[in-house]
Parts: sequence; C-alpha cells; structure tokens
Amino acid sequence: MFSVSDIFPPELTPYGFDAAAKRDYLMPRFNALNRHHYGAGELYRRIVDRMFGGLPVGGYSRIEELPFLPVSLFKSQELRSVPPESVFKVMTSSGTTGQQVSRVFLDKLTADLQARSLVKIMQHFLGKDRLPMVILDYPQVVRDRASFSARGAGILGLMQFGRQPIYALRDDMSFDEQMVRAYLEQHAGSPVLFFGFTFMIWQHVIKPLQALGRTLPASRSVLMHSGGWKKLEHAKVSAEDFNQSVKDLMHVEQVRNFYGMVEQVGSVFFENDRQFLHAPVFADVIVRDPFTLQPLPTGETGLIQVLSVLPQSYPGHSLLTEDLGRIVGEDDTAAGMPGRFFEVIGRAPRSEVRGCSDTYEQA
Amino acid sequence: MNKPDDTLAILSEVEVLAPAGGAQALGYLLSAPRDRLDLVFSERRLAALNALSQELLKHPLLKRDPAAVALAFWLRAGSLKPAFDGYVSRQTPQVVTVPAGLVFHIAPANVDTMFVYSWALSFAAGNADVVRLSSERSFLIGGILECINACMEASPVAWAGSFFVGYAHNEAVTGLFSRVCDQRVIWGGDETVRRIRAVPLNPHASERAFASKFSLAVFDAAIFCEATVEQRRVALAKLVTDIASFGQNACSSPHLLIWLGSTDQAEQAVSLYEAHMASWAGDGDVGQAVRRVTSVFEEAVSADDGWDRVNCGSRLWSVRDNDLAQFGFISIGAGVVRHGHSFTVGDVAGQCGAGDQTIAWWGLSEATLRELATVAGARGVDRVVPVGKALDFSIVWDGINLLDDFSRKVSLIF
Repeated sequence: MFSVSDIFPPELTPYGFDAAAKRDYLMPRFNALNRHHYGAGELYRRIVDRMFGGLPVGGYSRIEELPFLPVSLFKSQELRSVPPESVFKVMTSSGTTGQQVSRVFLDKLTADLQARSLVKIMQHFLGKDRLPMVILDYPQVVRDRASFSARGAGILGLMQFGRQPIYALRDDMSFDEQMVRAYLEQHAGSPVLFFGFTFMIWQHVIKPLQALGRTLPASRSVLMHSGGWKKLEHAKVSAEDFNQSVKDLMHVEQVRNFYGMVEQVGSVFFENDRQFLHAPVFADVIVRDPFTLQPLPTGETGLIQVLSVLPQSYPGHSLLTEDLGRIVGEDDTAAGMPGRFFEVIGRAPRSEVRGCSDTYEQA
Repeated sequence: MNKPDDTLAILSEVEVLAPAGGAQALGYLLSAPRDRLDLVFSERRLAALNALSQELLKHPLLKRDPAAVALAFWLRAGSLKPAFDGYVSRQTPQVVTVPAGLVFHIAPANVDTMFVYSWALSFAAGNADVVRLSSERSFLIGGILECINACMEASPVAWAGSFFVGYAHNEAVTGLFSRVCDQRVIWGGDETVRRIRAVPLNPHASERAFASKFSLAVFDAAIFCEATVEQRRVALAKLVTDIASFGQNACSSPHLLIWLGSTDQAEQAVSLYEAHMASWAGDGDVGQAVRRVTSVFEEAVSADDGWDRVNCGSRLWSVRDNDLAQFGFISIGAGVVRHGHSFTVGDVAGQCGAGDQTIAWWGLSEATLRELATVAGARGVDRVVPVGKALDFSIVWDGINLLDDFSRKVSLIF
C-alpha cells in the first residue's frame, strides 16, 4: 500500500495545512485507501456495496462523501486487509465487564505510521528534545506486548518522548509520591511531561495527594491526558475540577487533553489554544445526524466521525464513533494553527437491544 | 412445602418494589396465598384500577408518554367494565367464575408497560399477584411503580395481595414462587421461556408462555400509488406510530412491509414511500438511533443475499433487495423497515408461521382480510389489525383470552 514517505512527505508538518491544502493531501490518499481495503477485505466490500452503493469510478472529492464504518463493528467482526501472517500486533479496547472489546489488526507498516504520527504531533507541542517524563500509570499496563489495550499502546508510544521515564504508580496502583518527588527534584531545571489517562490520574494521583494534603513541587510541566470525562462525571467531578486540581496539587503549567481511540491510533486530537480538539493534517473530523447520517454544519451536535490516512492493514480510515460532539471551527487564527477543531460532548446513549427474544439473564 | 426459615432466606434476595416495606407481607402471602383473594371483577378492585389510571395521568413524566397514557386509558373502569361484563355473560350457566389463586407474572424486558396489563387483568379477576420486573428499569417503569405505591398507600385493603418485586437471576426465588403459585405467566422471548420452564411448577398450577414473535405490515400497493398525498401521509404516520413505540422492539412491532399487487406497483409504492419518508425530519431517541446504525451495519456484513440497498436518509430506514420478492422475516429494529412484494395475501399467508404474531394492514378489503386472517391465522398469526393499532393491547393476546388463564370455572349443578 502506501510507503512511509507517501503519508509523511519530508516537508509535512502536523498542523501545516488549511482546508484547501488538506483536501489536496487527503483525498487522493483516502480514495486509494478505499480501493485498497475494498479489494483486500470482503467484509469492508460488503459494507461499501450494501450501505454506500459501491465505490465510484473516479473516487470521491470531499471527505463527507467517503464511506464509513461504525466503531462497534470492530467488536463483532474481524476487519483485516492483510493476511494473518502479516499481523504484527492486535490492539484491543478497554471494555466494561460483559462487553465485547474491539480488535484492531496492525501490520508493521501501520504500526510504524501510527508511531511516527504520534512523534510528529508530540514534537509540535513539546519540541524535539526528549523530556523527563512521569507516566501516571503502573508498569504492568504495557507488559503484554503482543496484544494490549489502548492505554498500553498510548503509553508505549509516548514513552519514546521521555528521557528516563518513570511510572508514578506501583504495580498495586498505589501512588509512589516519594519517587515522583525525588524525580522532579532531580530534573528541576527542565520541563517535565506528565502523561496518563484522565480517570487514572484523578483516582490514583489527585485523590491520594488530596488525602495526604500534599502537593508536588512546582515544575515547568505539561500534562497530557486522555480517556474521556465520563467516569469523572459519574464521580461528580467536572473538567474544571480536574484541571484546577491538577494545577493546584501537581503544579502543572499546561494541561492538554486529547481525544483518540484504539480503532484509529495515531489519530490524536490535541487541545489547541482555544482548548478545542484539533485535527492534525493526516486526520479529520465530521459530525453526522444520528438519524439520517447526513453531515451536519459547524456548531450542530451529532455523532463524531474520525478519518485518518494511517490505517493500512485494516479498514479503519473512516469511522463513525458513538461520541456526540460538534465542530467548532476551522482555520481560525485564534486556535493557533490551521485545521478543523471540535469538542466532544459525551458518549451517546446506547439503548440496549431489548427485543422480543431477549434473555432473562439481562433482566 | 417450604420450611419458614428457608422461605425467609430465599426471600432475602428479593427486593419488594411495591408495596413499600412489603417484605413481611410477601412472606405471609406465600404461606397463605388464598387469604388475599377478592371476588372476580369486584367493584373494589375495578375502583383501584381506576385510581391507578388517574395517578398515571397526573404523573408529571408519564402523562407525556404515549405508552403510559394508552395504559392509563385502558385501565379506566369505563374501558374495563364492559370487557369484563362481556366475559362473564359468555360463560355457560353451569359455571361459577372464581379467581385462579396466586398468579406469578414474569414481565418482559422489551415492553415497559406489559407487566401492568398482565397484572391488571389478574388483579381484576380477584387474584393475589407476584410480578417480577426486570432489573433494568426505565423511567417509565419507575414512574409506574411510584403511582402504584401511591395507590397502595391510599387504599391498602383494596391492594392487599399484589406484590411487585425484583431479583437478580435466581432459581431459588423463581422456584419458591413457582411452587406456591396457581398460575405462572411468562412474558418474553424463547430463551426466557426455556429458562423459566426448567424451574418446577406447582403440580396444581398451569402456565402460559409468550415466546419470541415477529410482526409485519401488508399494504395494497395499487391503492397506495393511486391515493392522494394526504392519504399516503396518514397511512405512513400510522406505520410510524406502530414502529416508533418501544424502539420497534415489541412483539407486535412490524419489521417487514409487504406490498400487494404487481411488481411495478410494488416498485412504485416503495419509491413513493421513500420519497415521503425522506421529507420527515429525524428525531427521537438518540440511543436508538445509535443502535440502529450498529444493527444495520452488522446486518449488512452478515446477511446472505437478499439485501440490495439501504436508504438511511430518513426517519425510518428502508432495507430492500433488488428483487422485492426476496424478503425475509428478519428483525433489525430501532426504526428499520424491510420491503417485500407479494401478488396475493395467499402468498403472504403461506410464509407465516407459529412465530408470527401481528399483521398490520392498510388498503385491504374485508374479503381479503378474512382470507388473510383465516389462512395466516391457521399457520400461526394471532392478530390482523389496522396499521396504527399494532401495539394496542387486547385481552385476547396471541390467540389466548388472558382472563381464562387468570380465573377458574367451578362447575355448579343444582
């Protein structure tokens, strides 16, 4: 399929394209990906034929026209465009008990593209030097390398930006405050990168610090976190509470939330200067009406669709999520960079199948 | 017979949702179930149902919910009394109608109001009732329980003998109720029926099970094509009513729309249908919309032939095959209609079976309907009703008069 330089030509910067330039870059690649996945996988072909009427001979001219898959299909189907022996890694989503998890099949090329994408994005925000890094998680999360979760993949991916990274939690998930404190003191002259998943940070770092009545020493640090606000909502903690606590207790200078998913790793949307999630050049976002699946204009809330030119080994380049959100703007100078940006309102409710033939067990 | 200690231990797993604080009374009922009976169709119990109707219509959330309002209207004394009088008058002279005794109802997960219909008929018939509800309770069920509790508090004597309970999948509890009851009624799917039937029933008791069902609609294509725009709008609005309730999950919800006529007429009708539906704004339950996306894509991946295209751009999605005659009795749910074509009702009827329940019709003559009911009925269909009325509850359900199940006939010869 594509080579690395097809996706990342040397002059490419992660946030360098306005809408027109982005279209010139993305559309030929999406059209080629459509044809590639269509030829390589029967399941994808069926969906394109049955749901979208097949691929047009000349390809599409706008991202809104591209076929898409709901992310839920990755839970029930094996969506793969390479033979099994080319599968390098199988990623899984974190699922609640009783739920099926998504399985995503990566070959070496796709895994490589995803890693490079992450490097480019992170370097945009952090600069080219490796920074001291505190991973707000526990070591076990990355241990099984053959098949692991989005959390493990995210951490492993980002670890390469760290110089002598440490884990803030022990394997029993307790917060090793002494070690973190010592590490921060050791690296006192340098900016520090904190990375982790939102709820983990709240549960295993913020709450212990609150309980101890302690704060971390001030540092020129950046916190990058992801994972969604839903669990915090359940615990009645708002995004403002979280951001404030992080600043007060961890003395973090800059907090940047990002949005991503295991079904499209490398497609990370970081908060821009307006604190909205911003699409890098190799990805984009559309919002669709949940009832008619038509694309919605800026400002209207609907289901978020994410697109990325990275997925080569599986047809994950155009996915309809179950998250509700709205596009906020595009090519806005106040955002600090060209490109489209959006916000996530929350996970869409999912009414369970309660059909005539449904089981007593769920009752 | 259970030892009292065993009963208490088993009952500790049970949450009594109504009446409040009713755990002890429930234990007492199980030891002496016939102490809580009333006369069949007593004034007292009819008045209690009427009071519940009023409570429902006063409830701030329920009074805006169509299913709750339909239920409230059905519960009124003015609606039920004639039905009961009719039932009594049809009994033979040498029979005295009495309550069945203790009735154990297992509510379905798919239609929130069904447990009330089942219970209400049994309650009116003078029985003591234990109604097991799903542990997943919607706001609708929560609201109904609030109303029931309010009524129970206001008139404890009239309501004595009715218990609404919840418990996690527990064979000991189900077994306890099953050993003591005189009638067990299972609402809800082949799998549930199988599981509950495996739990032994009191040898003196009878059982009624309502298993998985499929429902469809039949429209006359020629009449649809020749109708005015307004007539088509009215017909499709009724279809939307039948489909939109309960997320198209009820046993009576139509999933398949068969167009009767020539192939050209059917094709034209489908085009008119889709053009009309396209003008209808999408709205409603986002959760169901998300489920529809998932279900339809899943079906697109796994369906064999018999699937040509889907039309997503409207209120109800359409699925069809190139050849409209290639339809299947498949339910996807959450607002998806599959189109099919038949030349005659005989063809339609020939495809029906024991798993099919309701045919919602439009544009058919009385003679055609009679043929449909007779032939499809013999093959298993239970109801042939006008479109728009598919979800109306009837005392005669799946071919059974529920009052027969909830009462006994004592032979009396002078």
